Amino acid sequence: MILRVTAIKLFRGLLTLLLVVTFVFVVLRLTGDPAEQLLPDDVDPLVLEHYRSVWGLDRPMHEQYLRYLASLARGDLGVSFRNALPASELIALRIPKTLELGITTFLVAVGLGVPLGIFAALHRDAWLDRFTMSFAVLGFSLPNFFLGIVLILGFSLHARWLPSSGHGTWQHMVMPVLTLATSFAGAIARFTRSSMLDVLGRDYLRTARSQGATRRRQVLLHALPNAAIPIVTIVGFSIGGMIGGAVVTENVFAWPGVGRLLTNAVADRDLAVVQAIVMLVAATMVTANLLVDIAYAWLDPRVRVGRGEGGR
Amino acid sequence: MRFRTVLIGLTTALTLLAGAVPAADRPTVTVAVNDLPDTLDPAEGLGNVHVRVVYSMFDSPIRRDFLADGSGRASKLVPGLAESWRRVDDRTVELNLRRGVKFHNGDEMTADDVIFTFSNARVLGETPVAATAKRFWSTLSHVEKVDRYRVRVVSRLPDVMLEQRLAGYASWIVNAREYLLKGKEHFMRHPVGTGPYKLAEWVDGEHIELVAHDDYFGGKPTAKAIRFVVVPEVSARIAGLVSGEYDIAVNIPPDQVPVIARYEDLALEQIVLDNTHVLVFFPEKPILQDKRVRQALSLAIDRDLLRKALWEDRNYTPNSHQLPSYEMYMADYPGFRYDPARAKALLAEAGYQGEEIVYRLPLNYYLLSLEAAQAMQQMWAAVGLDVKIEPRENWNQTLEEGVDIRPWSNTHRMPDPLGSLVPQWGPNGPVQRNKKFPQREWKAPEAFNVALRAIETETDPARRQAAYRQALDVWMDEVPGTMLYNPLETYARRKAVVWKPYSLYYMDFRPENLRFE
Repeated sequence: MILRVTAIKLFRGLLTLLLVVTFVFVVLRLTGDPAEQLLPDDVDPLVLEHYRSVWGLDRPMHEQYLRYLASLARGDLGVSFRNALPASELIALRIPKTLELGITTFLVAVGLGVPLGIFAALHRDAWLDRFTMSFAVLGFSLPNFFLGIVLILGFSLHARWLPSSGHGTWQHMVMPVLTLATSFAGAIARFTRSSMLDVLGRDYLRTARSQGATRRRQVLLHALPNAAIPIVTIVGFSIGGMIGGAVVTENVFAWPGVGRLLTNAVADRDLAVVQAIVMLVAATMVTANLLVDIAYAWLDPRVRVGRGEGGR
Repeated sequence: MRFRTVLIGLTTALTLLAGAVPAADRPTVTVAVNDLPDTLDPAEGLGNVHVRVVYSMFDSPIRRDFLADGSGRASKLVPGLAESWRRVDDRTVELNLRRGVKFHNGDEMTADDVIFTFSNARVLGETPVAATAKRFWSTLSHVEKVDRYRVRVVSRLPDVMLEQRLAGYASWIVNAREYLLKGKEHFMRHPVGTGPYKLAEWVDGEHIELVAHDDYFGGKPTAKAIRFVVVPEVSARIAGLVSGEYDIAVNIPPDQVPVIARYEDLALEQIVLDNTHVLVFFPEKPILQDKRVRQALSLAIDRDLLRKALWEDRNYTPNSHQLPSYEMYMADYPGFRYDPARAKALLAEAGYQGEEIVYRLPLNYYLLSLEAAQAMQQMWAAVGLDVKIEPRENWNQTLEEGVDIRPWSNTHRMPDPLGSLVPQWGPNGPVQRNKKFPQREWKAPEAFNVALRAIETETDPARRQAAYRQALDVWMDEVPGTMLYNPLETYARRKAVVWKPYSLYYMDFRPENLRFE
């Protein structure tokens, strides 16, 4: 039974990937010619033709598409037009840097967002709640590029405490992590608060209270586990988006991750690289969803039972 | 007293000793750039991001001395890898190569390297591996060996610009052995030249580090290393410069100039480029086939106002398709006029009824091009021209059906019409030949193409000059396009790092153009 469910999920995942790859192929190829993007604006038309034929762009669109799918099936992600390196190699170089940023951001955001949300819920409608939530909304709504530049101006230009951009030391991480974690923590705080409020009024908490459980015990052992499902959902979605979502921040801080590779590759219409990254993001999304499902089952026995009976 | 004397003597000696070992002390120069190149094969990557790196890694047989008059725009030819050269006839130049020049891998540079650099397989043949270079060498026949240190560069047609070509784009000499043994794909990532700096590390998307090539024939490099660090965001480039992370930052937009000027330890280096922002008028719609409408489009533009508003009037508009650095420069040639009254009269004569004209441009390609477009739209409206501005994401979308005006830039890669007017507006250039949209081709009058052919093959200076004037007369009257101005490029540097930019995007870190205070 579990095997069948997994097989179905895997099939769905592959279908999603195929759809994504096809969509990206059509959109990218219809909106720009890699040869024109990569060569200078005053290039000789003959040279343009030459590169088109070298890169196979002079073939009919459907043939280019089928050739691409065939090479994918062989496990070949293709070669970048821009610098003739295999797309897989280019991405492999960048993944550790994006993960470094992503994981730190994730820890900071969860570490800030969950306690802030609980805190706000426990002080519902008091000024502390309003203050925390205004802060969360602000953090959530500030555009990344704006916050990033404000941080650069403050900490690098004026205070000269932190390096303005690049990658290498822990100091390099502070501003990009702050930029990314602010909005993420804001979202988590808001979800945690509403989810906690939802559970705080439930019967089992009243029971716990009447049995004389301490405040801390009520919150951590009774309320939080029950409030966790929506929080896990939002966190799960965010992990998937983390790789693709760091695009703006990586550009502002010249962080050499996958996000920056993606922006350059899209601008150049460097098809193999864009496709490989999009597949990576899609695969991360699919995996994250799967992990969220598993986490549900672990957090909520009812889900486990439901799944066991073949329901949804 | 004696003790003090000894102490002072000792200190002085130590200081002198320290001064005698500069190699260890040489600083590293960190340059914050907007982007890194994708290839370091110097015949292939010819964009600004490429040439600013390869210029310090390779040498050409002859060198253009941009600093001959201190301006960074001069075009004097001086010895490079060739210590001398002589004209054999109107199609041939003989190069006398320097002896003992060492490539980065230790090989000696000889005639074979020069011959390979310009070989059919690399740049000249039907399907060369580095095809982008071909346009600079369209007239080259071959390079032949005289002996180990002498070669003859032979053109198919009489060519007075051969020496200039040997000092320009795509003339950087590569190590033949390395290229042939390991192939182009390897060479573009691991280039081997003779320049003052050699590749040490290239981390894609992060930085390219060059280290001093101490055997450089032009003297020991003054820096230990040059690091090009990619910082796409301009405020991060400036912040890093202020905080001391970078020594030089490129591509500073004009509105950030006052920010930099506030810091005492920073200096600005501005140079007007040998590049002109241009508009091309496609004669596709019937109304634009009438040259009077095209003339009106050009006459309606107040270029002085554009330069003042957008560039603080620190740049200039060339008088027709030429630059003051050209050998054939005609100072008396009339420039682009601003005459709205004449524009209105021409439109009335042509029977212009307010037909819509579409000006489509790619965003973020040419600096300040959208601002210029919006200002020009008002100037055109003032004479009654209905021009619609359509910003697009890229060239493909810009050049789709329905565009009447496109922006363009012409880089004057040699101080001669052969560097720009002939390849770009001539019979084989993209204006007169458009395979995808033949209806957009400019049907140039025969006189124009005859004059361009004369510029290419004529060797008599007076006749060549006359042909150039005639070509410009036709071009200014037919108005297949018009020029706006030459953009200004701004670099910011720490005052302690003394370096000057050139009017092409080369960044020259040779000993004579880089010192520390």
